[in-house]
Amino acid sequence: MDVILNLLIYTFTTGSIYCIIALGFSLVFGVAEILNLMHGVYYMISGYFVYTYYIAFNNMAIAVALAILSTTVFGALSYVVVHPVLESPFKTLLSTFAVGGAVSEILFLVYGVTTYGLPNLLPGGFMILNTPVIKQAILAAGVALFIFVCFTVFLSRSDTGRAMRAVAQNEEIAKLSGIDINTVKFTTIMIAAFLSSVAGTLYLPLQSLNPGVWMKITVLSFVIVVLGGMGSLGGLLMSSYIIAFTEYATTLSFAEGSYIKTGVYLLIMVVILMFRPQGLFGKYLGPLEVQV
Amino acid sequence: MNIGGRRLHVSLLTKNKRWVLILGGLACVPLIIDNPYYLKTFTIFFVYSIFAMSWDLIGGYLGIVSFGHALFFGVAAYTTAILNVKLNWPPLLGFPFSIACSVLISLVVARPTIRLKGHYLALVTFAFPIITTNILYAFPNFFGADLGIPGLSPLSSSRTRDFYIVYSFVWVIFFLLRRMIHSDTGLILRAIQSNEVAAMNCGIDTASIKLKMFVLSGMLAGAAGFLYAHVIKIASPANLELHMSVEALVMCIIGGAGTLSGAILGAVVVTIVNELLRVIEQYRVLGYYVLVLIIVLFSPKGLTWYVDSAFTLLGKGKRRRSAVIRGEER
Repeated sequence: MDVILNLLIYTFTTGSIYCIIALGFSLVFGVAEILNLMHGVYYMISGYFVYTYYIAFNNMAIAVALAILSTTVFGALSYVVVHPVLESPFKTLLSTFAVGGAVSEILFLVYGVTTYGLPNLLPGGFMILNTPVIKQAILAAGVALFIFVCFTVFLSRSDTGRAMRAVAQNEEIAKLSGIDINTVKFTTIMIAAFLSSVAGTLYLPLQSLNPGVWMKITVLSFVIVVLGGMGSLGGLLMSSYIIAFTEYATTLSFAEGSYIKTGVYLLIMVVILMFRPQGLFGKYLGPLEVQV
Repeated sequence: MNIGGRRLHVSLLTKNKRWVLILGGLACVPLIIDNPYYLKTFTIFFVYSIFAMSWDLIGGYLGIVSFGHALFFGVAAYTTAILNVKLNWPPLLGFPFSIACSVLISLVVARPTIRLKGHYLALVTFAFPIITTNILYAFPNFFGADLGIPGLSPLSSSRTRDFYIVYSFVWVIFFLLRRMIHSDTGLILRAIQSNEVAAMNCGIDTASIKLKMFVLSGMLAGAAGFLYAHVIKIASPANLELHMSVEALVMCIIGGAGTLSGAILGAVVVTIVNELLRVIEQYRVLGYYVLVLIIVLFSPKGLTWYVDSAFTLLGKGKRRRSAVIRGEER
């Protein structure tokens, strides 16, 4: 019973965080058609920003706010690297991978391999039926879900949101309607960095922070996006919970669980791509090109 | 000489002279250099050339951009390591088995991959090495986890002999592939790359050609992995990592994708750069990534194009020079 409750709580908190990370990835993939291999870097670097600002100002709230701001600016800057190679998919893959590797290497040189623990914004915890719950985790999940809902409204109601959906559907016609494609793509990457930084600043205090985190997060977000299917926000939420559940269940049931969890969900992704290329919840094929 | 699918009007004599020069020059290397370290570096460069050519065959000629080519490389390395270290088989006996394993794995990967395109193809090929690495980590007693399987026996009794074995592998593979690329098969490959539907309508069985090429490419990568494991005498998870797969892409982009000689030229550059970066040991990885970024952002054509233009300029004199620069000669 305890194990099941524990599993459910973990699935809820971690799944919600994964959801907003993958949301950014899915947006960049759908709107700008970039498979952004440096996506995990936004998440990781926000943790390092928090660490640095916390040491400088000794106040967690200020550190978090500044870290989110800095990461968003970093996201905007990262557009410089993808812009010249936008038309070639594998060049964007290579350039984003190189930037990700370079950034993680710089962080490694500056901060070392030491795993850092960040202080919690809301320290302490409480008990539900003999199962401990950390307040920070609930805060992170709550903020993540709130932002997810806000973003859904933003995407369907605001002009920028409409422009983004238009570019995702048909770039040529969006251009003909007077939408500046470059600005839209630029905004999308900035939003993705913002979403990841919110996830990173709130959730990284519960996790360990080291320069190798980025690749795991990148792999995780594309698995979630493929599983959920393009263009379906509800599907994204569901698949985040599925992945979080799989991850924790694997860790609990095998001795080497924490080593093989990535392999388990990647295997799930490959099987799903074989039989349902549009994802579990995707309705249309979208940018997915599957040849008959 | 072939550049990006178009023929340059270079006379047959110049072409052969160039190859005789390169082949003969490289064959003399062990006679001039006795430093075992440099000899090993040359051998590793040859192994990288085979690996790069195997990627080029599907990436450059067919447009199947594989992001996990290190899988075949690593699987062959591990197979020969297990046979050699655990069962004490000689390398020669392990060779057919490691090739068979990489062919088998490439068939498994090809099944869900071949139908996909663009990003999704990169994604799935990207996933397989990670899954395999996880399997390796799941059985630490057998596969040795982080340390891998050390202590493989060398290919032959001396480093010089190793050098010539790998040397002959490279050139046999190179000239066979070159022959294939210049035959009708090469034409079919280019047709598929430029327009698959049109190629299909011409009566080409594109699915089967793609599958065959994918398996052939996996097989060559497996041969490279086999040689690599015996040259550096260890099979480790690093052989399967994304870094290794990216290495193949980087070599082909530097040299020019879709030109076999470009793959070899790229391998030269990557080997030299890897050696030069040892000077700044601490910043080696950073330097490598920065270099990859610069190459991807600022090299529209591969090195082969520049080298060939230079050869044409030397051979054809002033009148042609302007034509080459204007691009008419292509």
